[in-house]
Amino acid sequence: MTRRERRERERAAEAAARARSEGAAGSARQPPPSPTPTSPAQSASTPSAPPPAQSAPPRPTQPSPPAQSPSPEAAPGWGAPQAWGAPQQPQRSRPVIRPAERTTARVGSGPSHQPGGRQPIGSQPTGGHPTAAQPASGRQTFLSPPTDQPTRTQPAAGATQALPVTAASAAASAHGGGAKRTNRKRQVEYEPLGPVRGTIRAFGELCITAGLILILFVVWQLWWTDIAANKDNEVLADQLITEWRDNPANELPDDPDTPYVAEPVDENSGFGIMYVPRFGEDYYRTVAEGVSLEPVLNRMGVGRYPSSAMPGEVGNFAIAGHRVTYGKPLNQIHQLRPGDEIVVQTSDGFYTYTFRNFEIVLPDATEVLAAVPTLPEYKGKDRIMTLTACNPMFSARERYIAYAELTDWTPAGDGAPDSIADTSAYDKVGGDA
Amino acid sequence: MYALLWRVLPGPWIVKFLICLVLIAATVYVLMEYVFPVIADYMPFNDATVEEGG
Repeated sequence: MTRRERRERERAAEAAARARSEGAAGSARQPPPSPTPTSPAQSASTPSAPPPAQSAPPRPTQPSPPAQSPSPEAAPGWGAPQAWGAPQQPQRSRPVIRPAERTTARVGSGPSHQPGGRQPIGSQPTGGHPTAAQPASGRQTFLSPPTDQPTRTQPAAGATQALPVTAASAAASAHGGGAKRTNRKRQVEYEPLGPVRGTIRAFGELCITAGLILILFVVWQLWWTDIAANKDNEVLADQLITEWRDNPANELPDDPDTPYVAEPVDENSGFGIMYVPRFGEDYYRTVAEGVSLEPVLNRMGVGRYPSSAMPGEVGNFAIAGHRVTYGKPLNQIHQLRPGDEIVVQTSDGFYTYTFRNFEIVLPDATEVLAAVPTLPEYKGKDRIMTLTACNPMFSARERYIAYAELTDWTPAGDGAPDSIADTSAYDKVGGDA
Repeated sequence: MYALLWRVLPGPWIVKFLICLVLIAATVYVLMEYVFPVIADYMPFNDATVEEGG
Protein backbone atom coordinates (compact mmCIF):
# COMPACT_ATOMS: atom_id res chain seq x y z
CA MET A 1 0.00 0.00 0.00
CA THR A 2 2.54 2.55 1.12
CA ARG A 3 5.03 1.46 -1.46
CA ARG A 4 2.53 1.86 -4.18
CA GLU A 5 1.72 5.33 -3.01
CA ARG A 6 5.30 6.30 -2.90
CA ARG A 7 5.90 4.94 -6.31
CA GLU A 8 3.07 6.91 -7.73
CA ARG A 9 4.23 10.00 -6.02
CA GLU A 10 7.75 9.58 -7.29
CA ARG A 11 6.52 9.02 -10.77
CA ALA A 12 4.57 12.23 -10.65
CA ALA A 13 7.55 14.03 -9.23
CA GLU A 14 9.78 12.79 -11.97
CA ALA A 15 7.41 13.89 -14.62
CA ALA A 16 7.09 17.31 -13.07
CA ALA A 17 10.82 17.73 -12.66
CA ARG A 18 11.48 16.58 -16.17
CA ALA A 19 9.02 18.99 -17.67
CA ARG A 20 10.46 21.79 -15.61
CA SER A 21 14.06 21.15 -16.37
CA GLU A 22 13.32 20.92 -20.04
CA GLY A 23 11.42 24.14 -19.93
CA ALA A 24 14.19 25.77 -17.95
CA ALA A 25 16.83 24.51 -20.31
CA GLY A 26 14.91 25.80 -23.24
CA SER A 27 14.41 29.15 -21.67
CA ALA A 28 18.06 29.31 -20.64
CA ARG A 29 19.17 28.66 -24.17
CA GLN A 30 16.91 31.16 -25.72
CA PRO A 31 18.49 34.36 -24.41
CA PRO A 32 21.66 34.51 -26.50
CA PRO A 33 22.73 38.05 -25.46
CA SER A 34 24.38 36.59 -22.34
CA PRO A 35 28.21 36.86 -22.31
CA THR A 36 28.76 33.16 -23.04
CA PRO A 37 25.96 32.18 -25.32
CA THR A 38 27.36 28.74 -26.02
CA SER A 39 27.49 27.52 -22.42
CA PRO A 40 24.50 28.79 -20.51
CA ALA A 41 23.74 25.32 -19.23
CA GLN A 42 27.26 24.87 -17.90
CA SER A 43 27.25 28.19 -16.11
CA ALA A 44 23.93 27.33 -14.60
CA SER A 45 25.04 23.90 -13.51
CA THR A 46 28.47 24.67 -12.18
CA PRO A 47 27.72 23.56 -8.62
CA SER A 48 26.78 20.09 -9.77
CA ALA A 49 28.99 17.83 -11.82
CA PRO A 50 26.62 16.70 -14.59
CA PRO A 51 25.35 19.43 -16.88
CA PRO A 52 21.67 19.08 -17.68
CA ALA A 53 22.35 18.62 -21.32
CA GLN A 54 24.13 15.36 -20.56
CA SER A 55 21.71 14.09 -18.02
CA ALA A 56 18.79 14.79 -20.25
CA PRO A 57 19.30 12.03 -22.87
CA PRO A 58 19.18 9.04 -20.54
CA ARG A 59 16.03 10.33 -18.96
CA PRO A 60 13.42 8.84 -21.27
CA THR A 61 14.86 5.36 -20.90
CA GLN A 62 15.74 5.43 -17.25
CA PRO A 63 12.64 6.37 -15.32
CA SER A 64 10.91 3.05 -15.80
CA PRO A 65 13.37 0.87 -13.84
CA PRO A 66 13.15 2.81 -10.58
CA ALA A 67 9.42 2.61 -10.72
CA GLN A 68 9.59 -1.17 -11.01
CA SER A 69 12.47 -1.72 -8.67
CA PRO A 70 11.62 -2.62 -5.09
CA SER A 71 13.71 0.27 -3.79
CA PRO A 72 11.91 3.54 -4.34
CA GLU A 73 14.96 5.42 -3.12
CA ALA A 74 16.48 5.18 -6.52
CA ALA A 75 13.86 7.49 -7.88
CA PRO A 76 14.97 10.70 -6.24
CA GLY A 77 18.46 9.90 -7.38
CA TRP A 78 17.16 10.26 -10.88
CA GLY A 79 14.71 12.98 -10.32
CA ALA A 80 16.84 15.27 -8.27
CA PRO A 81 19.81 15.83 -10.55
CA GLN A 82 17.46 16.67 -13.33
CA ALA A 83 15.81 19.26 -11.23
CA TRP A 84 19.23 20.42 -10.20
CA GLY A 85 19.81 21.68 -13.68
CA ALA A 86 17.46 24.58 -12.93
CA PRO A 87 18.40 25.66 -9.46
CA GLN A 88 15.69 28.27 -9.07
CA GLN A 89 12.60 26.25 -9.79
CA PRO A 90 12.87 22.98 -7.88
CA GLN A 91 11.84 24.74 -4.70
CA ARG A 92 8.24 24.68 -5.80
CA SER A 93 8.11 21.05 -6.70
CA ARG A 94 10.09 19.96 -3.68
CA PRO A 95 7.12 19.26 -1.45
CA VAL A 96 6.22 16.48 -3.82
CA ILE A 97 9.67 14.96 -3.91
CA ARG A 98 10.63 15.62 -0.36
CA PRO A 99 9.28 12.56 1.45
CA ALA A 100 11.49 10.20 -0.47
CA GLU A 101 14.47 12.51 -0.58
CA ARG A 102 14.40 13.14 3.10
CA THR A 103 14.90 9.53 3.97
CA THR A 104 17.87 9.28 1.67
CA ALA A 105 19.35 12.47 2.95
CA ARG A 106 18.92 11.36 6.51
CA VAL A 107 20.51 8.05 5.84
CA GLY A 108 23.34 9.77 4.09
CA SER A 109 23.85 12.23 6.91
CA GLY A 110 24.06 9.37 9.38
CA PRO A 111 21.78 7.69 11.87
CA SER A 112 22.78 10.11 14.62
CA HIS A 113 19.66 12.16 13.92
CA GLN A 114 17.35 9.31 14.69
CA PRO A 115 16.98 8.75 18.38
CA GLY A 116 15.66 5.24 18.25
CA GLY A 117 18.00 4.06 15.57
CA ARG A 118 15.01 2.35 14.06
CA GLN A 119 14.17 3.23 10.53
CA PRO A 120 10.79 1.75 9.81
CA ILE A 121 10.57 3.03 6.30
CA GLY A 122 14.05 4.05 5.42
CA SER A 123 15.44 0.70 6.40
CA GLN A 124 13.51 -1.17 3.78
CA PRO A 125 15.21 0.09 0.67
CA THR A 126 18.75 0.13 2.02
CA GLY A 127 19.94 -1.53 -1.14
CA GLY A 128 19.46 1.64 -3.04
CA HIS A 129 21.11 3.98 -0.60
CA PRO A 130 24.77 3.96 -1.46
CA THR A 131 24.22 4.37 -5.12
CA ALA A 132 21.58 6.95 -4.68
CA ALA A 133 23.39 8.97 -2.08
CA GLN A 134 26.75 9.20 -3.81
CA PRO A 135 25.79 10.88 -7.03
CA ALA A 136 23.73 13.25 -4.99
CA SER A 137 26.61 14.27 -2.77
CA GLY A 138 26.39 17.80 -4.01
CA ARG A 139 22.66 17.74 -3.61
CA GLN A 140 22.79 16.83 0.02
CA THR A 141 24.28 20.12 1.02
CA PHE A 142 21.40 21.75 -0.69
CA LEU A 143 18.80 19.46 0.79
CA SER A 144 20.05 19.32 4.30
CA PRO A 145 18.43 22.55 5.55
CA PRO A 146 14.88 21.59 4.68
CA THR A 147 15.33 18.02 5.85
CA ASP A 148 16.90 18.84 9.16
CA GLN A 149 14.30 21.34 10.19
CA PRO A 150 11.43 18.92 10.57
CA THR A 151 13.60 16.53 12.55
CA ARG A 152 14.43 19.36 14.87
CA THR A 153 10.85 20.30 15.49
CA GLN A 154 9.62 16.78 15.96
CA PRO A 155 11.99 15.13 18.38
CA ALA A 156 9.53 15.58 21.25
CA ALA A 157 7.17 13.12 19.70
CA GLY A 158 9.94 11.08 18.18
CA ALA A 159 11.57 10.53 21.52
CA THR A 160 8.56 8.73 22.85
CA GLN A 161 7.82 6.87 19.67
CA ALA A 162 10.59 6.31 17.25
CA LEU A 163 8.15 6.15 14.39
CA PRO A 164 7.19 9.79 13.93
CA VAL A 165 10.79 10.75 13.19
CA THR A 166 10.03 9.89 9.62
CA ALA A 167 6.61 11.38 9.90
CA ALA A 168 7.21 13.34 6.76
CA SER A 169 7.33 10.12 4.81
CA ALA A 170 4.11 8.87 3.37
CA ALA A 171 3.81 6.07 5.92
CA ALA A 172 3.89 8.25 9.02
CA SER A 173 2.03 6.40 11.74
CA ALA A 174 -1.45 7.71 12.36
CA HIS A 175 -1.51 7.37 16.12
CA GLY A 176 1.76 9.24 16.46
CA GLY A 177 0.19 12.15 14.64
CA GLY A 178 -2.90 11.98 16.83
CA ALA A 179 -0.92 12.19 20.03
CA LYS A 180 0.93 15.14 18.67
CA ARG A 181 -2.28 16.92 17.87
CA THR A 182 -3.76 16.52 21.33
CA ASN A 183 -0.58 17.77 22.88
CA ARG A 184 -0.68 20.81 20.72
CA LYS A 185 -4.31 21.46 21.53
CA ARG A 186 -3.69 21.32 25.19
CA GLN A 187 -0.84 23.75 24.87
CA VAL A 188 -2.96 26.17 22.89
CA GLU A 189 -5.71 26.03 25.47
CA TYR A 190 -3.47 27.33 28.18
CA GLU A 191 -1.69 29.77 25.99
CA PRO A 192 -2.47 33.27 27.28
CA LEU A 193 -3.90 35.64 24.75
CA GLY A 194 -2.27 38.92 24.02
CA PRO A 195 -3.75 42.10 25.44
CA VAL A 196 -5.50 42.98 22.21
CA ARG A 197 -6.97 39.57 21.50
CA GLY A 198 -7.81 39.08 25.14
CA THR A 199 -9.65 42.38 25.27
CA ILE A 200 -11.53 41.62 22.09
CA ARG A 201 -12.52 38.22 23.35
CA ALA A 202 -13.62 39.56 26.72
CA PHE A 203 -15.61 42.28 24.99
CA GLY A 204 -17.27 39.75 22.73
CA GLU A 205 -18.15 37.53 25.67
CA LEU A 206 -19.60 40.48 27.51
CA CYS A 207 -21.72 41.35 24.49
CA ILE A 208 -22.99 37.79 24.24
CA THR A 209 -23.74 37.79 27.95
CA ALA A 210 -25.59 41.07 27.70
CA GLY A 211 -27.63 39.70 24.82
CA LEU A 212 -28.53 36.60 26.78
CA ILE A 213 -29.54 38.72 29.77
CA LEU A 214 -31.74 40.86 27.56
CA ILE A 215 -33.41 37.77 26.17
CA LEU A 216 -33.87 36.50 29.69
CA PHE A 217 -35.41 39.81 30.67
CA VAL A 218 -37.92 39.61 27.85
CA VAL A 219 -38.77 36.05 28.81
CA TRP A 220 -39.17 37.13 32.39
CA GLN A 221 -41.29 40.13 31.50
CA LEU A 222 -43.61 38.46 29.06
CA TRP A 223 -43.87 35.03 30.53
CA TRP A 224 -42.67 34.75 34.06
CA THR A 225 -44.44 37.83 35.44
CA ASP A 226 -47.75 36.32 34.36
CA ILE A 227 -47.02 33.10 36.16
CA ALA A 228 -45.82 34.84 39.30
CA ALA A 229 -48.69 37.33 39.34
CA ASN A 230 -51.31 34.65 38.79
CA LYS A 231 -49.88 32.67 41.65
CA ASP A 232 -49.86 35.70 43.91
CA ASN A 233 -53.37 36.49 42.83
CA GLU A 234 -54.55 33.02 43.72
CA VAL A 235 -52.96 33.19 47.14
CA LEU A 236 -54.44 36.60 47.84
CA ALA A 237 -57.91 35.53 46.73
CA ASP A 238 -57.81 32.50 49.00
CA GLN A 239 -56.69 34.74 51.81
CA LEU A 240 -59.55 37.17 51.24
CA ILE A 241 -62.14 34.41 51.07
CA THR A 242 -60.85 32.99 54.32
CA GLU A 243 -61.03 36.38 55.98
CA TRP A 244 -64.56 36.99 54.79
CA ARG A 245 -65.73 33.68 56.09
CA ASP A 246 -64.68 34.68 59.56
CA ASN A 247 -66.33 38.08 59.33
CA PRO A 248 -69.43 38.74 61.39
CA ALA A 249 -72.64 39.09 59.49
CA ASN A 250 -72.98 42.41 57.73
CA GLU A 251 -75.02 45.16 59.17
CA LEU A 252 -76.95 45.87 56.06
CA PRO A 253 -78.48 49.25 55.40
CA ASP A 254 -82.15 49.65 55.85
CA ASP A 255 -82.88 50.21 52.21
CA PRO A 256 -82.02 47.03 50.35
CA ASP A 257 -81.63 48.97 47.10
CA THR A 258 -78.88 51.06 48.58
CA PRO A 259 -75.68 49.09 48.46
CA TYR A 260 -73.52 48.81 51.48
CA VAL A 261 -70.34 50.90 51.24
CA ALA A 262 -67.31 49.72 53.12
CA GLU A 263 -64.57 51.86 54.54
CA PRO A 264 -61.36 51.92 52.51
CA VAL A 265 -58.78 49.45 53.63
CA ASP A 266 -55.09 50.13 54.10
CA GLU A 267 -53.09 50.75 51.01
CA ASN A 268 -51.43 47.75 49.38
CA SER A 269 -53.90 45.31 50.83
CA GLY A 270 -56.59 43.50 48.98
CA PHE A 271 -60.28 44.07 49.62
CA GLY A 272 -62.16 42.52 46.74
CA ILE A 273 -62.33 40.07 43.88
CA MET A 274 -63.42 41.08 40.41
CA TYR A 275 -65.14 38.70 38.00
CA VAL A 276 -65.67 39.54 34.36
CA PRO A 277 -67.40 36.73 32.48
CA ARG A 278 -66.52 38.41 29.18
CA PHE A 279 -62.84 37.94 29.98
CA GLY A 280 -63.35 34.24 30.43
CA GLU A 281 -65.21 31.69 32.47
CA ASP A 282 -62.35 31.35 34.87
CA TYR A 283 -61.40 34.99 35.03
CA TYR A 284 -61.03 36.63 38.41
CA ARG A 285 -58.61 39.15 39.81
CA THR A 286 -58.18 40.54 43.24
CA VAL A 287 -58.75 44.22 43.84
CA ALA A 288 -56.34 46.02 46.11
CA GLU A 289 -55.98 49.48 47.44
CA GLY A 290 -53.54 51.76 45.66
CA VAL A 291 -52.16 51.99 42.16
CA SER A 292 -48.46 51.69 42.78
CA LEU A 293 -46.72 49.19 40.55
CA GLU A 294 -45.18 47.41 43.48
CA PRO A 295 -46.81 45.62 45.02
CA VAL A 296 -50.37 46.32 43.93
CA LEU A 297 -50.45 46.29 40.17
CA ASN A 298 -47.58 43.87 39.74
CA ARG A 299 -48.76 41.31 42.24
CA MET A 300 -52.28 41.99 43.47
CA GLY A 301 -54.37 42.16 40.33
CA VAL A 302 -56.05 45.52 39.85
CA GLY A 303 -55.71 48.54 42.11
CA ARG A 304 -58.19 51.12 43.25
CA TYR A 305 -57.33 54.77 42.86
CA PRO A 306 -57.34 55.93 46.50
CA SER A 307 -58.95 59.22 45.51
CA SER A 308 -61.91 57.46 43.93
CA ALA A 309 -65.05 56.00 45.46
CA MET A 310 -65.43 52.60 47.05
CA PRO A 311 -67.53 49.92 45.37
CA GLY A 312 -71.18 50.80 45.59
CA GLU A 313 -70.49 54.37 46.62
CA VAL A 314 -71.97 57.29 44.75
CA GLY A 315 -69.18 58.59 42.56
CA ASN A 316 -66.55 56.83 40.54
CA PHE A 317 -65.03 53.59 41.65
CA ALA A 318 -61.89 53.61 39.51
CA ILE A 319 -59.40 50.84 39.14
CA ALA A 320 -56.24 50.37 37.12
CA GLY A 321 -54.59 47.25 35.86
CA HIS A 322 -51.92 45.96 33.56
CA ARG A 323 -53.04 45.14 30.09
CA VAL A 324 -49.94 43.08 29.35
CA THR A 325 -47.58 41.21 31.67
CA TYR A 326 -47.99 40.71 35.40
CA GLY A 327 -51.01 38.51 34.95
CA LYS A 328 -52.52 41.02 32.49
CA PRO A 329 -55.77 41.53 34.40
CA LEU A 330 -57.19 43.94 31.84
CA ASN A 331 -55.71 42.31 28.78
CA GLN A 332 -59.09 41.93 27.08
CA ILE A 333 -60.58 45.21 28.15
CA HIS A 334 -61.24 46.00 24.50
CA GLN A 335 -63.50 42.94 24.30
CA LEU A 336 -66.10 44.45 26.60
CA ARG A 337 -69.47 45.05 24.96
CA PRO A 338 -72.22 47.26 26.31
CA GLY A 339 -74.23 45.20 28.77
CA ASP A 340 -71.35 43.04 29.90
CA GLU A 341 -71.29 42.62 33.64
CA ILE A 342 -68.38 43.27 35.93
CA VAL A 343 -68.93 41.82 39.37
CA VAL A 344 -66.87 42.99 42.31
CA GLN A 345 -67.09 40.82 45.39
CA THR A 346 -66.17 42.23 48.77
CA SER A 347 -66.73 41.06 52.28
CA ASP A 348 -70.11 42.80 52.16
CA GLY A 349 -71.54 41.48 48.96
CA PHE A 350 -71.50 41.50 45.20
CA TYR A 351 -71.55 44.75 43.26
CA THR A 352 -72.62 44.24 39.68
CA TYR A 353 -71.56 46.95 37.27
CA THR A 354 -72.68 46.95 33.66
CA PHE A 355 -70.33 48.12 30.96
CA ARG A 356 -71.54 51.15 29.07
CA ASN A 357 -68.85 52.61 26.87
CA PHE A 358 -65.16 53.15 26.46
CA GLU A 359 -62.85 55.87 25.31
CA ILE A 360 -59.19 56.24 24.57
CA VAL A 361 -57.43 59.18 26.17
CA LEU A 362 -53.98 60.50 26.77
CA PRO A 363 -52.16 59.44 29.92
CA ASP A 364 -52.73 62.74 31.66
CA ALA A 365 -56.53 62.71 31.28
CA THR A 366 -57.27 62.39 34.97
CA GLU A 367 -60.78 63.72 34.43
CA VAL A 368 -61.86 60.19 33.58
CA LEU A 369 -61.61 59.47 37.29
CA ALA A 370 -64.05 62.21 38.21
CA ALA A 371 -67.42 61.39 39.74
CA VAL A 372 -68.91 62.34 36.44
CA PRO A 373 -66.20 61.15 34.12
CA THR A 374 -64.60 63.83 31.95
CA LEU A 375 -66.61 66.50 33.81
CA PRO A 376 -64.71 67.03 37.06
CA GLU A 377 -66.70 70.09 38.05
CA TYR A 378 -69.90 68.05 38.56
CA LYS A 379 -70.62 66.09 41.67
CA GLY A 380 -72.75 63.38 40.17
CA LYS A 381 -75.26 61.00 41.69
CA ASP A 382 -74.50 57.78 39.84
CA ARG A 383 -72.42 54.88 40.97
CA ILE A 384 -69.81 54.62 38.24
CA MET A 385 -66.97 52.23 37.79
CA THR A 386 -63.98 53.12 35.64
CA LEU A 387 -61.29 50.73 34.47
CA THR A 388 -58.06 52.13 33.09
CA ALA A 389 -55.36 50.31 31.18
CA CYS A 390 -52.63 51.25 28.78
CA ASN A 391 -53.89 51.36 25.28
CA PRO A 392 -51.71 50.14 22.57
CA MET A 393 -50.55 46.96 24.16
CA PHE A 394 -46.91 47.14 25.23
CA SER A 395 -47.07 50.90 25.16
CA ALA A 396 -47.90 53.69 27.55
CA ARG A 397 -48.84 56.19 24.90
CA GLU A 398 -52.58 56.21 25.57
CA ARG A 399 -55.09 54.90 28.06
CA TYR A 400 -58.03 52.68 27.39
CA ILE A 401 -60.91 53.70 29.63
CA ALA A 402 -63.94 51.52 30.22
CA TYR A 403 -67.00 52.91 32.01
CA ALA A 404 -69.58 50.85 33.81
CA GLU A 405 -72.53 51.66 35.99
CA LEU A 406 -73.80 49.88 39.08
CA THR A 407 -76.90 47.94 38.13
CA ASP A 408 -77.23 45.40 40.90
CA TRP A 409 -76.13 44.69 44.40
CA THR A 410 -76.35 41.48 46.39
CA PRO A 411 -75.54 41.16 50.07
CA ALA A 412 -72.98 38.51 50.84
CA GLY A 413 -75.52 36.37 52.63
CA ASP A 414 -77.70 36.14 49.52
CA GLY A 415 -75.04 34.49 47.42
CA ALA A 416 -73.55 35.39 44.11
CA PRO A 417 -75.59 36.93 41.30
CA ASP A 418 -76.59 34.68 38.47
CA SER A 419 -74.06 36.17 36.10
CA ILE A 420 -71.15 34.62 37.96
CA ALA A 421 -72.72 31.97 40.15
CA ASP A 422 -72.05 29.19 37.69
CA THR A 423 -68.70 30.28 36.42
CA SER A 424 -65.66 28.19 37.13
CA ALA A 425 -63.93 31.26 38.51
CA TYR A 426 -66.50 31.69 41.23
CA ASP A 427 -66.53 27.99 41.96
CA LYS A 428 -62.82 28.06 42.35
CA VAL A 429 -62.42 31.20 44.40
CA GLY A 430 -65.49 32.57 46.04
CA GLY A 431 -67.84 29.65 45.96
CA ASP A 432 -67.36 28.72 49.57
CA ALA A 433 -67.48 32.25 50.85
CA MET B 1 -13.77 35.48 30.67
CA TYR B 2 -15.54 32.16 30.42
CA ALA B 3 -12.30 30.38 29.60
CA LEU B 4 -10.84 31.81 32.78
CA LEU B 5 -13.88 30.70 34.75
CA TRP B 6 -13.58 27.21 33.33
CA ARG B 7 -9.91 27.11 34.24
CA VAL B 8 -10.50 28.36 37.77
CA LEU B 9 -13.19 25.79 38.55
CA PRO B 10 -11.78 22.71 40.24
CA GLY B 11 -12.20 19.09 39.42
CA PRO B 12 -12.72 17.12 36.24
CA TRP B 13 -14.89 18.38 33.47
CA ILE B 14 -18.10 16.86 34.80
CA VAL B 15 -17.67 18.62 38.12
CA LYS B 16 -16.90 21.85 36.32
CA PHE B 17 -19.97 21.35 34.20
CA LEU B 18 -22.21 20.83 37.23
CA ILE B 19 -20.74 23.85 38.98
CA CYS B 20 -21.38 25.86 35.85
CA LEU B 21 -25.01 24.74 35.80
CA VAL B 22 -25.42 25.74 39.42
CA LEU B 23 -23.81 29.11 38.71
CA ILE B 24 -26.09 29.70 35.75
CA ALA B 25 -29.14 28.77 37.78
CA ALA B 26 -28.09 31.06 40.60
CA THR B 27 -27.50 33.91 38.17
CA VAL B 28 -30.87 33.44 36.54
CA TYR B 29 -32.58 33.29 39.91
CA VAL B 30 -30.93 36.46 41.17
CA LEU B 31 -31.74 38.27 37.94
CA MET B 32 -35.38 37.24 37.91
CA GLU B 33 -36.06 37.69 41.59
CA TYR B 34 -34.17 40.86 42.38
CA VAL B 35 -32.74 42.60 39.33
CA PHE B 36 -35.51 42.48 36.76
CA PRO B 37 -38.30 43.72 39.06
CA VAL B 38 -36.21 46.81 39.77
CA ILE B 39 -35.42 47.38 36.12
CA ALA B 40 -38.99 46.74 35.01
CA ASP B 41 -40.25 49.82 36.81
CA TYR B 42 -38.25 51.93 34.41
CA MET B 43 -39.51 50.20 31.31
CA PRO B 44 -41.75 52.43 29.23
CA PHE B 45 -44.36 49.78 28.60
CA ASN B 46 -44.92 49.10 32.29
CA ASP B 47 -44.51 52.58 33.46
CA ALA B 48 -48.01 53.88 33.34
CA THR B 49 -50.95 51.62 33.15
CA VAL B 50 -52.11 54.10 35.70
CA GLU B 51 -52.59 57.70 34.94
CA GLU B 52 -52.61 59.96 37.86
CA GLY B 53 -51.56 63.23 36.35
CA GLY B 54 -48.96 61.26 34.49
